[in-house]
Amino acid sequence: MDLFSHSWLPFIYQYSFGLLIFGGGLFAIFIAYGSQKFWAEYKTWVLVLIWGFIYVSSIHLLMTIAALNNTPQLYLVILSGYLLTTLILSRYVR
Amino acid sequence: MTPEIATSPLFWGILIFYVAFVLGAGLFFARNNQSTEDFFFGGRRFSWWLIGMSMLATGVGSHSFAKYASKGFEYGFSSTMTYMNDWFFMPLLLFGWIPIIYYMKVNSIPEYFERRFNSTVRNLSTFTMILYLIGYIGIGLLALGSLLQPILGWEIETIIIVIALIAGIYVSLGGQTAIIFTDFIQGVVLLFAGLLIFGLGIAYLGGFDIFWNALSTTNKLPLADFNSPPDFNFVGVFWQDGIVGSVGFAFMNQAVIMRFLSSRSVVHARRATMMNVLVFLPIGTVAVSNAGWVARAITNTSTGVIAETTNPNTIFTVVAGIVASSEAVFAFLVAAVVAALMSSLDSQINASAAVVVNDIYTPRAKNPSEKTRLRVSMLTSAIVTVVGIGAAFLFAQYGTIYEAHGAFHSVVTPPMVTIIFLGIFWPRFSSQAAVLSFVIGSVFIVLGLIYPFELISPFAHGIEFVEEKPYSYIRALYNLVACVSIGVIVTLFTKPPKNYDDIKGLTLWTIKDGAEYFKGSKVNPNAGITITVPGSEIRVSEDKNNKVCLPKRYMDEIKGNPGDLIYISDKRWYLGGLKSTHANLGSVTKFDGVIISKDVYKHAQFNLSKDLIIELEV
Repeated sequence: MDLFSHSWLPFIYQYSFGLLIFGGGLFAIFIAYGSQKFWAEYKTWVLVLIWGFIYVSSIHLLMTIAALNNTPQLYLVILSGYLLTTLILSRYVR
Repeated sequence: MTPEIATSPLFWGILIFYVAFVLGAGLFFARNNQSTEDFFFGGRRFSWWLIGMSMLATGVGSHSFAKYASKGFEYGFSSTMTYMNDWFFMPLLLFGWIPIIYYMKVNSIPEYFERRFNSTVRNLSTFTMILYLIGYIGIGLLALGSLLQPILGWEIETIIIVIALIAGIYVSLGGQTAIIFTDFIQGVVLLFAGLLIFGLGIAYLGGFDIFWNALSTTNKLPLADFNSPPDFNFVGVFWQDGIVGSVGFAFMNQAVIMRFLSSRSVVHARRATMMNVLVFLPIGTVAVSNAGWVARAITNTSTGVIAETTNPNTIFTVVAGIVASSEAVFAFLVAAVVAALMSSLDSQINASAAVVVNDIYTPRAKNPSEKTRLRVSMLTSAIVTVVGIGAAFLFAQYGTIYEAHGAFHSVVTPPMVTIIFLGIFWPRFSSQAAVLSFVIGSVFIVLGLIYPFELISPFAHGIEFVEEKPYSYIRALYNLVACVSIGVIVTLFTKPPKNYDDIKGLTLWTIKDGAEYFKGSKVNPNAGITITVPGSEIRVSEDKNNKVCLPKRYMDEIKGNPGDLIYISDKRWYLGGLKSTHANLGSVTKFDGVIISKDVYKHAQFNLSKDLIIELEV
């Protein structure tokens, strides 16, 4: 059974548009605030924004691999990522 | 099975305790409301964790348990996909929209439209926003009534009236503060209940391995098939819920806007949003969907427990009835669904009242006093509740209006989202373009409803055309393209503004002016410095102003100047900002302690035996 249209095609579509919107938004705020000033003032926030994108896309990536290869153990990796994200957001973002 | 459990004294005891709790919260927090800013924005003083959880509770309604559990039952894990796109918009939301509305003190979307464009856009958006919010209230009430009717055995109209009255009373009395605190509790309850049913379901099946193996590969994939079936395909849902819905919720939903404005600062609004999307929402996604996954696994492993023909919309209640190990657990699960509705309903009532008072009453009244505005706000909340009941009755009487509301939603959201987005990010986007995006955009959207094959097919991505419900999701892409195209074309064919002074602070490119506007003077680069002051050093003066005077040692430590904005709060973090307020720094005092005015003391309701923190703002 060909599952490409049920797995990787929607994944590629979603994250292509997602990267465009996310990257465009990040670029726009860098320009609007002044890139050097923005980086100096909001470095942690920018890193968390980028981490958030990687984290969200990795959830879909790992869920897709887990389903296609019958490896539910990957959900432990997702859970670890969740706990790490919670720790980062609650302790380091001010 | 369910009616027997429902009529037990324990079941009723748990529900009555819950109702007493929310009504008690309304009465308790009523004393915090001294102005409309308190009533609608809770005095703009709450911490990120309260705001974040209450945002989740606002987003998850009783219809979420019905809708996502049913999709989970039909299609598996892909029922979660609509919740996972919000992060794409975070840079623009956190550093564009939130500072704009917070610093420019925008109280509603229609108000933003008048300040950014003109009064015509404000009036158009006020009308549509109120219709949308009241429709939302009516649908929520009807969804809960339908869910509870087989359990309680009452007439659906009676359930709607009782639920609406409970919500109406505590919202009319307690305002935003009551909503935020009860939503926090309700958010925790609904997350816990959602996960509890998952745990019970796994236990019922005999373990995670059995659950996993009972689902097919397609059930376990996180995204739906690209373009089929017509009623649940990836690309349609991506554009409707993932793009238009996500932007609509974060940028346009008045209840969410009011959460941002209830935060103690822009930083706390940003943290709340981040936590909501990355921490609370993933759990919420599992909580509202998993009853459907469990039902699918039960159906695939045991014949006769859940019939394939079961109405998917009732799957949450069906699974709760099967896996709940006791009456108390079942009653708790039902109470959680009631909590889900309450936490959405209260926010929509308060948001509707805010739009009515801010955009209809205040511009037309002749300088009403703050006391009058507060009374009108409370009265409006009550009236909105009654109108919401009427809307629910209407939807109940004419079943097809439920779908009509969905169609109405798809008509209203794209023009509003387009105008907000182009308004924020394109300073040249003109008032004429905004009006025409609204009016002509709506015409094109209606034409899309009448001629779906001719107009929407080019955007369909290969989705099959179904006569009864043509392109039910992907039409969002057509609607969006129509509105954006009109906005861009009209702007390019009209003269650009001669100067942009009128929109200072209202677009991303003029955002630097916002902080100065908020403060009313030059920004202090030392903002963020915080000091702790023992309660024993505080003295309350009889002055009726909004000032706090510090001795030189504290003034040096905080690096503030007279006139600077400060946030002063009880140090106990778990109060979440309940005992806090914003004030201005007064002149340096010779008294070796902190002098706060009577107004500041009264508004913050400090306990002077406790330490306070003072933070320099902006």
